[in-house]
Amino acid sequence: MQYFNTTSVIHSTAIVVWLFISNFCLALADRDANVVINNEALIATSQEKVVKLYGAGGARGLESYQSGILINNSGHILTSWSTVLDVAKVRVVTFDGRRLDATMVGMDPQNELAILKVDDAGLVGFDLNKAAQGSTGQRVFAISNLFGIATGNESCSAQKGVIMASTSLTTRRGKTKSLYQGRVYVLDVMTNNPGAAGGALVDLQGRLVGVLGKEIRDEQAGIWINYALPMDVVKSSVDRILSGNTSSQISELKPVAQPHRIVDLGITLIPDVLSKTPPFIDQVREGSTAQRAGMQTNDLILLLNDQRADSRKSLEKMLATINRADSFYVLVQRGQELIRIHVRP
Amino acid sequence: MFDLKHSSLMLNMLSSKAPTNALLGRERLLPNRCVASSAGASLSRSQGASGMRQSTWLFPSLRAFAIFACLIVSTSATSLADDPPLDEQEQQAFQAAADFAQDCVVQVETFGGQEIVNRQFIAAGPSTGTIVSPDGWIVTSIFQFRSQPASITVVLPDEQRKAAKLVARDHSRELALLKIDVDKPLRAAVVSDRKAWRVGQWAIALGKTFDVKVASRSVGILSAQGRIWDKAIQTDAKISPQNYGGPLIDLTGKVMGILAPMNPGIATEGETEQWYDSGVGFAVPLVDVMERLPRLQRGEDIYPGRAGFRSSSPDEFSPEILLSGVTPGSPAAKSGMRAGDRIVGAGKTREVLKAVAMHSQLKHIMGPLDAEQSMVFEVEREGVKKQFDVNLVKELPTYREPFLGVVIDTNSPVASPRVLSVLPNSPAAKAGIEIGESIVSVGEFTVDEKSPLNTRLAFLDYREPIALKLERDGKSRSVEVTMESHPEQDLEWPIVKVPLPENPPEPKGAKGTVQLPLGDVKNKAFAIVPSNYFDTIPHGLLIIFAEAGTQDQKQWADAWELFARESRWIIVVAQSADEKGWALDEVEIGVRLRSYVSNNYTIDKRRICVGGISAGMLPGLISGIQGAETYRGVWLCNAKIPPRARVPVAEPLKSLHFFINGTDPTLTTFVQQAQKVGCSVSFHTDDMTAAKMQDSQIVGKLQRWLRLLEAY
Repeated sequence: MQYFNTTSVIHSTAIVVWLFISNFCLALADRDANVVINNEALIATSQEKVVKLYGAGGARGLESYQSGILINNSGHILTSWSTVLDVAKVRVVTFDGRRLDATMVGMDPQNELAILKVDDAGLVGFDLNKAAQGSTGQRVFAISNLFGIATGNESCSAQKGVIMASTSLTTRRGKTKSLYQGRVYVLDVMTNNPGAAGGALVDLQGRLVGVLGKEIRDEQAGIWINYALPMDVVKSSVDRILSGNTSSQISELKPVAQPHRIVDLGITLIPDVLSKTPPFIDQVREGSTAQRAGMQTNDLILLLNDQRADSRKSLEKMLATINRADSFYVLVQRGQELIRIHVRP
Repeated sequence: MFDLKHSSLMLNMLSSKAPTNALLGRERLLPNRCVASSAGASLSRSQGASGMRQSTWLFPSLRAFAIFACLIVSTSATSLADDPPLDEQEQQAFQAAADFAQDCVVQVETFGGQEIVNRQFIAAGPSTGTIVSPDGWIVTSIFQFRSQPASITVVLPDEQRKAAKLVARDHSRELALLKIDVDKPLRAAVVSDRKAWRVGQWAIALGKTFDVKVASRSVGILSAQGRIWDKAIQTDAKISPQNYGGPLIDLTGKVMGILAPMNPGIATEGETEQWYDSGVGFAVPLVDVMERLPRLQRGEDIYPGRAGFRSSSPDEFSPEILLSGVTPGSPAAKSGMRAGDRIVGAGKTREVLKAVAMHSQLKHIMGPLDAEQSMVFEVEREGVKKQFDVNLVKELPTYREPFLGVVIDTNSPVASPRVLSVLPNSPAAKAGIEIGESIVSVGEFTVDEKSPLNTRLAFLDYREPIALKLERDGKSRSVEVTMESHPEQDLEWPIVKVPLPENPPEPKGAKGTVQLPLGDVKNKAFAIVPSNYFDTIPHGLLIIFAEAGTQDQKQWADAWELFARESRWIIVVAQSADEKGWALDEVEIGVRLRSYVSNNYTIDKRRICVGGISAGMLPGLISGIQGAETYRGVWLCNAKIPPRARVPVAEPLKSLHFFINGTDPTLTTFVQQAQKVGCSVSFHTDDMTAAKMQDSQIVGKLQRWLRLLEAY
């Protein structure tokens, strides 16, 4: 009896310990599964909201496919405004392989976005009211049909990355040929590949934080820019397009009729002999606008209204966009000193 | 004050939701939190579930206990579930680290300067720098200063713009030091302790090209340490011109290294940036930069250090480092190292001397060392270990191949080469060396199988008198000779006849004008093999990339057969695949031809030359430059030199001799450059076409120049 009791105690203790351990493992395993299922689930549900678009192109290196995002439950598809859409009907292929023809609702050339519509009940899209703002350093997933890998009932591809910076396309290195010059999220993952434009950028909660931009290569530095349009930009476009209120005006600095000119300001720059002659002031005329403002011989003009003037040519170009009656600022380097000068006509 | 701020922030980070584990890197985080691979997790779950069913069935009386146990477990599980998910914790840790470090990161902008360097566009626009001391010292990448900008400015995190002075450059690490004047102390980078680094830990790359306040961040891991011969660490964070010059930080916000465009291979200037987006990025450890800061602050540029010895190993992974010699006047020569020494140890000082067995190990030790630093070599000489202190230099003294002025009988033993001919007015003639004498030692070194006459002479300074020991009929004598550098002028001397053994065997290779097989390419090639060719006599080999289009074989044979026969040469003419010209990848044809001819005929390794005419000039030049260790002579006919061509610096057993004819203005600079790096150049301002080869004076001059290559 005694013997039995001891064994039973030993048994029960062992079993409790064993149970404890196994249950602990179970709990952890469940937890792990939760984390994984969360990410998997959010990617899976997001993938169902991204569609494959096929349209015009295929020649001269232009792709004939791209990605699109379902932005509500009524069949509106948000995508990048590109030559792919230059057809009467854009073919839409959903995650489950349905082939639908889309009509153009409208476009916003300023943000290079367009909205298409398909007539199909039962398509579930992102809730734009729940869309979120991204922040620098935030982890994100990019979902798009890059390289056109997915076809038929295959889902679009998912990539993970981080929002590297939130910036304006004009301030990054070099020059790019993009109509859109506003704020973007630069991503630290190679998202912007053929076919990726119009894809979704989602956060760890599965909320839409941006729309993937086009492939842009910095022609001078040779760097591919991976970027997405932030949701506030996207939303303003969506609102404008859906309310039928799109403007096709692209705001851009344009030369004015009566601009400032270097001669009229009363300065002579050193002769333009190099491909990029630095805008050094050679002479300042007595009593001129420049002299009154405080410019001196040997000043090197660095910025004009906070825009880089890294050569005499670019300075002339920028001056040509400022009306003769308007004042402007220049930043000059005098020796090791930087001086901000207000030039009033 | 600053340290206090730093540590309090660290404390904040530690006490925040981000767990301590997460700060230390992923590899620690995983085991501690039991978030093992999903396979392992599902296994333990199924065990757990079945275990519970068994227990209730076998021991019903213990059910209460089991439920109690379950309760404990579920409580602990709930407390776990309250933490934000792993991804979010990590994200918080990234943000905290980057937010802490970003105030030591500045935007660097250049104004003016060339747009194109080496035919490559230099991107305009800002780049990044890292503050390394509160009084305004900033380290950045060198790449944006190649364009010689008129002005450099720095924008601080508080948006103040400052004019910066470029104080010094570190050419070994692609970094530059800037100085700005400051009115208040700046936040400087906190150096991360190298000892704590482990491959696989998180690393974040910061840049300021997009925004002067908020640094751009790219998240990756530390991929490797000790890269680029121990000068850099490697990361898979996205490194590009957008963050070159910025810091690579650890999860505590301390700076591990400065991001730099480095390339593990040989890179010509301007090529280094091509590595971005490849998953491979490099950073120079900040500790290494700080160690050099005082030197840089004094305005001293830093260059990789060179010692000037040459190993006889065929590649850097050969199992021993046996010196075939030291470059005359080099630090190695000055320290007393010499031919035959086997390097067995090296280190910056005697205290950190490490054993080395392969050249690659030596490169890891020498890689981080700069010119003007000293180091210690341990060598084994005749069974005894000796140590030498060597002061490394930026550039070795210009080497010129010495010229004695004798032709050696190839039938004589390697250990006692017999003089077959003494060139008139040569150093050998002046010293009274006679035909029939054998040279058995050079200075203190004997000539032997391992170190033939060629190697023994190559490491001498041609300006220094040297004693040669000569032997004839068992009697020996010593002469002192002062050599010259390899002659550039046109020399003429009687034809040398190499004696043939009696009844030499018939060669296996064909003679006359021979078509050469080239395999799967469209090119055609033929060789002019002299009618008196025998396998016992080594022949010179000249491979010519001909003018574009089909070549008239008879014309070539008429111009070269006599020379080939008299001076023992095989001339190979390669034709372009396309009638219009040569493509760059056809350079490889030269390698195929060389290996085919060397396999089928006896070739004198000291007389392998390459040439190019007009359109074929470029593949000829490239072959020569790339194969400086194989080709001794390069003939450039109707030459026009591309701007990026750089002749490799002459070294013992690796110096090129050029014969250049042409009228293009680019030639003058090229000739000067080649001579400056120690090559001999025979330069003639005449053009020539294959059709007029026979009437051309140039061919005569060229053939005399080729003959001279046989002389030691």
